[in-house]
Amino acid sequence: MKKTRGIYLHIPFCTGKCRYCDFYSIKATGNEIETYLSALKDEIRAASAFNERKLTDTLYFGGGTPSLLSPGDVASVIEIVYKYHDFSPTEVTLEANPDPDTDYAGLFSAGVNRISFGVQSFDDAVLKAAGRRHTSADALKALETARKVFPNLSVDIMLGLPEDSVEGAVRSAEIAAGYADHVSMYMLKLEEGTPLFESVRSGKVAVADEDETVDAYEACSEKLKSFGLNRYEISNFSRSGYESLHNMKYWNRSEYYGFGAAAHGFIAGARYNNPYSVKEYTSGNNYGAGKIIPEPIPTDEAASEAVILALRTEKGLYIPDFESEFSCDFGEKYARELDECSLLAGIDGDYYRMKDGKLLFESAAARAFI
Amino acid sequence: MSSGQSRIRNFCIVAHIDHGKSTLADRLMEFTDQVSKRDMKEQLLDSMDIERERGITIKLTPVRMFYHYKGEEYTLNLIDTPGHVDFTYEVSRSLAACEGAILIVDATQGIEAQTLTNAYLAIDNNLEIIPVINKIDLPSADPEGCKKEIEDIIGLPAEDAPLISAKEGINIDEVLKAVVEKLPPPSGNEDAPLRALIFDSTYDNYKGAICLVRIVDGKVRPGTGIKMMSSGKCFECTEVGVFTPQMLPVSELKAGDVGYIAASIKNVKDTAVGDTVTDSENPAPEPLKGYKKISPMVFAGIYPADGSKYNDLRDALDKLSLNDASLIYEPEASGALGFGFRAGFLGLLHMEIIEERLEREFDLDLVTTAPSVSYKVKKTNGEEITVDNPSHLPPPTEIESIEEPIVKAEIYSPPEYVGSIMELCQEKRGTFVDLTYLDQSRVKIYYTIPLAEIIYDFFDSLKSRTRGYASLEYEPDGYRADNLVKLDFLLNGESCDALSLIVHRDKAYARGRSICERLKEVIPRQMFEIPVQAAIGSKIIARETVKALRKDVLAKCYGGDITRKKKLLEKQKEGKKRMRQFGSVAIPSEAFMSILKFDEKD
Repeated sequence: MKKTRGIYLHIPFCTGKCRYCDFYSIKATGNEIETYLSALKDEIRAASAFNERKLTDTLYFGGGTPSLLSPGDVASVIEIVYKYHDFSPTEVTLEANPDPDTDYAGLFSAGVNRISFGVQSFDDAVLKAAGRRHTSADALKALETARKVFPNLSVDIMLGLPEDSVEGAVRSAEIAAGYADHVSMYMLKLEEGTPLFESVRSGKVAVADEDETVDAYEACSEKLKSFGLNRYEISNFSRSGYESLHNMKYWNRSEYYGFGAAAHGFIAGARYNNPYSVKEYTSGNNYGAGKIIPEPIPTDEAASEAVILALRTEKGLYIPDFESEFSCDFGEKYARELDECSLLAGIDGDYYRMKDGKLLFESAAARAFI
Repeated sequence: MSSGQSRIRNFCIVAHIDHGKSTLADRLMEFTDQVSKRDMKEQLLDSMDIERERGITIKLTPVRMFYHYKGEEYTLNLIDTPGHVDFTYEVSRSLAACEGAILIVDATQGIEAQTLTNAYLAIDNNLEIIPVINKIDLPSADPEGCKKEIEDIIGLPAEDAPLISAKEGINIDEVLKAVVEKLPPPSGNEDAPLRALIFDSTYDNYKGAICLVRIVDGKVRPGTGIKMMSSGKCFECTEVGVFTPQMLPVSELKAGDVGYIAASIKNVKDTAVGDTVTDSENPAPEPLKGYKKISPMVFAGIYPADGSKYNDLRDALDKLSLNDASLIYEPEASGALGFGFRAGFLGLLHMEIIEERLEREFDLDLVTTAPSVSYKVKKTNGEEITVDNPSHLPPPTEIESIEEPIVKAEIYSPPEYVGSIMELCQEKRGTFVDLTYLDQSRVKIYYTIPLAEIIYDFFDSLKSRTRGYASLEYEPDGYRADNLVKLDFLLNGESCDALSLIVHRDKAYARGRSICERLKEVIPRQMFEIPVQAAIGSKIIARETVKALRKDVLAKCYGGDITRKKKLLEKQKEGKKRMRQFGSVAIPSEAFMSILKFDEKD
C-alpha cells in the first residue's frame, strides 16, 4: 500500500476560549489574520523547496476556529498548496464553529469538501457551562445549511462536560447522527491551567466520573451504530467510506506537513513542531517544516510508534505492511510485549488489535510498547 | 582554681521553639567578631539545610567566642541546643557541659511549654540561669508581663533580665555582660587526671569519629593516649581543637575548655555520648556522671521505592547514623515492600527528619510504613517478646497479654481550651492525673496516654482544637497492658503486612473502616475489582471495593501531535514503576503512610 501525504494547517484564532480548552489559540485582531496567512503561505512555499514532493491528497484546516477565515482566504491558501505541492485532493476538511451566519456555500466553492463542526452538545446548559459561544439552535441551523452544501459532514461531541448526563449525551449523539456522515466523540480530559480544571479543583463545578463518562460513551456508541455510524477509531465513528482520510494518516504513520503556529508535522521519518506563538511564527524566523531538518526517528522507536498508533483503530495494525517496512517478524520482535498485554490485545488474522470490548484500554497496551 | 578558668564561661541557650535561640546565637557571634557581617548566614549554627529551612536546631553545635570586658579577655563557649521535644535528651547533654544557661522568653508569647521544661532541666543540672526577654521590638511585646511570669511561674528573679531584640541587635552587649558577671567560671582541676565529658560526636571523613567534649579536669593534647572509660578502648589523640564554629586545631585543651578530640577513631560507636575520656597512662579513678541512654520511641519500616536500591539505602543509613547516634535500624523483609529496614526514632519529628535527609542528601526514593511503637508481648508459653513491627505480632491464640508504652503528657494551654483538651485526651485513651492553674492565663493538664495514640495524630488534633495555643510535652512512663489487637488489611484477599497496625479493640472497627475508605481513595482502579478489607485475625470487620478500571486511554492525537502522546505514555509508565506490586495489585507508595492520616470521624 503506497502511503500518500497530508497537510495540516493550523488556524489559531478564536473569538473566545472554551473553558476546557488548552490548545494554542488567540483572539484575532485587525490585520493579524492577514499577516498570519501570509506567513503560512510562505511556509507552504518554503517546505516544497526543502523536501521531496509526494502525492498529497488530504488537507485539513484545524484550529482554533478555521471558519473565521473568509472563503477568499481559504481559497487563496488552497491555491498556494496546489501551486507548490503535488496536490490532488480527495478530502479537504475545515473545522467550523456551528455558526448559522458562516458562508458555507462560499467555503465549499473555495475547495472545502468536508466540514467538521465543533458542536460538543445539543444542550444549552452544557454549552454554556463549557464556555461555548453558540446555542443548540445555532448548531441546528448551521447543520441544516451546511448539510445542503457539503457531501461530507462531521460533528464533534464531547462527553463528560459539566451539566451533562448519560441521557443528554445520547440525545446529542442522536441529533448529530441525523445530520452527520462522521462523528468524533471525545471524553473530556481536564487539562491543568484551563478554567474548567480550576473550577473542578476548587469544587465549584462537578464533572462526571469515570464510570458515568464510560457509560455515556458506550450508550452513545450504540446509538451511533444504530444510525450506521460505526467506530473505526477510539473517538471516531462514520458511515462506511466516510472515515477521515486525513486523521487516518496519523494512525497509520503516513507523512503529513503541519503548517502554522503550533502545528505538528511528520516528514521524512522525523517529527517537528512549530512555535506555539503567532508572534514568533510571523516574525519570519525559526519556523517552517522546510527550515528545520530534524533527526529521523530511530527504527525501533518508529516501529513501536507504528504499533501504538495503530492500536487506537478498530482494525489495528496491519502486520504484513509493518513487517515489510521494518524488515522483521512482528511476533518475534515483540514477543515480550505481546505476552504482557495478552489480556488486552492479540493477533487477529493479519492484524494486531485491541480485543473486542478492550479498545478503551488502549493506553495500557501502548505502554508496553513505548 | 587556675586563673585561666576564671576567664572562661560555658553556657547554653534554652528556649521554647521559635523564641529566637538561633538568632541570638548568631548575634552573639557577630558581636564578638566571631564572624564578619559579610559571612553571616542566617542561623550560623544550624548547618544542615533542613535546620535552616525548618528553622529548627537538630544537632548540638558549640562555638568559642572572645569577649573583652573591663580590660580582660574572656572565652565564652556557647553550646547551641535543639528546641524540639524529640530532642530534649540532647538539651540535657549540652546542659551537663555548662555552668550556666541563657533562658530566652519571647516578649510577645511569654512562657511556653518548652520554656518551662528547659528551665527546669537547667535548674536540675545546677546551672545558673540568666533570663533574657527577646523580641522587644515587636509592637505586641510585653516585657513587664514576661518578667512577672518568669518570677511567678519559674521562680527566677527577672528584674535585671536584659530586654533585647536578637533580630534587630538591640542590647546584645547586656547579654554578654550578664554572662561574664553572673555565670560562674568552671572549677575543674587542671592538674588532676584527664576527665572529659563527651556531649556529642560527629564523623569526619578525614579525622574519623570526633568527640565533642567538655574538659572537666586535666588536659589533653595531640599525642596523649586516651581511654574511653565505659569500654576501656584506647586511642592516641591526633588533634584537639575548638569550634569557631568551624573546627580549629589548638595545641591543648584543659580543664574548663569546650572543644573536640580526634584520635583516628573509626567507629562512631566508640565515642559514646555521655562517656568520659581519660588519660590512658594516668586514668581518673571515677568517670563523670553520664547520661542515661536514650531509647527510640517510634518505629517504622523504611524501604527503597526501587527495590534494587536496597544497598544504597543501607549505605545511607550507615552514614547518617555516624552523625546521629540515636538512629537505630536493622534489616527487615516485607511481603509487600521487599527488603528494607526497621528503624527506631526518638519521635515523629526525628523520623520525618531522617526520612527527609535520606531522600535529600542521598537522593533516595523511600516508602515508609506508618510508625508504630514497641509492644511487650507475653505469650501463653511464658515467653516474653518485644514487637516493634505489627506484622510480627504472634497469632491471638498465643498471646497472653500485650503491654504498650505509656507517656506522661503535660499540656500547657489557655484555660478556655481545657474542655476540648480533656475530651481529646479521653478519646485517646488517656488517664487524667492532674490539672494546675499556673496563672490566670495558663493551665497545665497532666495525663498519662498510650504513646501509640500520641503518634496517631495527637499533636495535630491538639493544635487544631486549641487554635495552636496548646503545647505538648511528654516523657516515657512505663508500660501498661490493654485490650490490643492486630488489625490487618487485605488487598484482593491477601493480607498486606506493611499495612498492619496494633490498635485498641474498641477502636478497631472505626479505624478499620476509615482506613479501608482511605485505601480505596489512594489505590488506583485497576483492570479488575479489588476488595479492600480490614480484619482482626480471620474476622473481616470492614470492606470497601476499588472498582475495576473502565478506561485507560489518552485523548486524541490533536493535529497529529504524536510526541505529546508518547511523552504522556512514558510519564504514565514511570508512574507505574513507582508503584509497589503486591500480588496482582499495584499500590502507590503513599498508601502506606495514608493509614496515618487523621480523620475527624475516627
